[in-house]
Amino acid sequence: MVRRPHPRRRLSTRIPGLARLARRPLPTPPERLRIGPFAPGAFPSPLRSERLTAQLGIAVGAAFTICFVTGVLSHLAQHPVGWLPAWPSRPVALYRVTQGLHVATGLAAIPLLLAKLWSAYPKLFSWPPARDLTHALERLSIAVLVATTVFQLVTGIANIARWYTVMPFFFTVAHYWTAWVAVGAILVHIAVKLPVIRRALTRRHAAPPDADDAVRTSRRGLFAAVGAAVGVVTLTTVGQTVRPLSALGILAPRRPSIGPQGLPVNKSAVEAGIRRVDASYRLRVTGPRPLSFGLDQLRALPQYSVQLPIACVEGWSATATWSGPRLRDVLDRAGAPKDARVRVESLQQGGLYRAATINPEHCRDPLTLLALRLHGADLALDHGHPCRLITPNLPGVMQTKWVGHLVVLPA
Amino acid sequence: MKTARIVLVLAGLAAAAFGVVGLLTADHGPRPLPYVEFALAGLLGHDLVLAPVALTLGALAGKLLPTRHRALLRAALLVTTLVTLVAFPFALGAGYSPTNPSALPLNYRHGLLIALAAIWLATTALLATRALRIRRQRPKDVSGGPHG
Repeated sequence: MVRRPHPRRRLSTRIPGLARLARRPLPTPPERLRIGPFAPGAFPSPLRSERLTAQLGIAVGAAFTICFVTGVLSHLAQHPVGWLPAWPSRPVALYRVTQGLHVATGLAAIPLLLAKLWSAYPKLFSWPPARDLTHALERLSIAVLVATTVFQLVTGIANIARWYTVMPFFFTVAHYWTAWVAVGAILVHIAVKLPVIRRALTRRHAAPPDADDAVRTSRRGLFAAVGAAVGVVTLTTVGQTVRPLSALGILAPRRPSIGPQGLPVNKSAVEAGIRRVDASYRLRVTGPRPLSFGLDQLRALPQYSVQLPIACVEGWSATATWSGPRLRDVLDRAGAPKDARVRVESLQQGGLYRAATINPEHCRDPLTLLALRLHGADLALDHGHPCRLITPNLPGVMQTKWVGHLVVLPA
Repeated sequence: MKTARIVLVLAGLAAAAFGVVGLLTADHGPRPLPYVEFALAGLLGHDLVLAPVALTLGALAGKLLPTRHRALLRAALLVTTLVTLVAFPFALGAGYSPTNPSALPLNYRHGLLIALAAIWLATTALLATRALRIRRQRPKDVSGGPHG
């Protein structure tokens, strides 16, 4: 590693006091403490190089970029921001693709991040531990970088494995906001390392001495192994959203064909506290003309059948045929304005996802149903019997089940 | 490059600050202490447990495995370790609940074993083709090689 401090004339002439403070050497610990992993030559692998670290860094950076962009999209689909364009209802499979990609890329990022951390691991024991204040700050930013990237992958996989008890916080909020910290730490890291990255990727490196590939792992060999791990992880999990590969999904947390009526369920009726829905069921509509429908009255409305994917934030998705009245027909009867948003409330008593606010575009979409039937049969209780919302291109958590109340919101 | 670096640092600090403010102020956000403990556990769990164990095992494998196939066998061990780590939360099954049988519906221990069997089958096939190729390349070499 090059340890020469770069001359910083411009900065130091502007703010000499700060620059001097940032560059003032910190005391070096006594040399006899330089033992174990701190000793020179403690990490002898000739495989490690700036070039390898830079290449693995690009792979990890690409994976985190995909996860961040798709994750922010998923957040915006659920929590719209006024000045941004609303999440669209077309193409109907967009969310299925973005969220499937989010989870698949996150799983693939686990081997990539571990390889990257391995390649940079000796830096953890660099000597002296902190040369000056700038160096100390940089090392602190690396701690934030490692902690938050590991945090994102650990919480992400814990969530799709439904291992909620391991997380002492509400997953969604912690995962979303930590993503911003992780991306910030990645950007700072790229800025700090930019000269090293450029040097590592532009200079032609001589092949390491004694490159007997059979004995010693080559850089190509390491890429092949990490690539193989990514391949195995992807092939055995991506079938939860890519239907043709579902039979290979031996490690996938969902199988698109397993569940009541051949469709997975994210939250079952028991988990939602719904025991049974009896004949006294009414769907109330609060709007300009308040209405109330019994199940028979909903069945008497014009019925439509749509084929739509249901796509979960957890990354699985499956296409199904849903039937029932259109939401917009019900809203028209209630005299709702065309540009009204609608809050769709479940019969379930609690839970953060008991209600969803649906944008006008989705409310008015001809594919948006108050579904009563799935694959030609009445909805199973787990799928939201007697009535659930089905919309094109919205996360599964917003497709409210056991719908009991529609509230037309002021535009 | 200097401008690019300054822009990157400022954008990074802004994103991180936005995230920290969100963590501290969002509805249903984490309580600070358990959150920091969890994040530190991940950091230290990697730096002080996972990495040293993996490095020790890797070094051991480098010493014990037959020289001739060392690189391939170490690669197979690496793939085995990485796939096992990813499969661990599913194989552990802590998230399974009988009240929702379509969540985690498979036997993930079997799934992991099948995946590992496939990895080692592929490794064996690679070893066999390499052995065949070496034999074909040196049909009359009776002196033997330095490998062994």
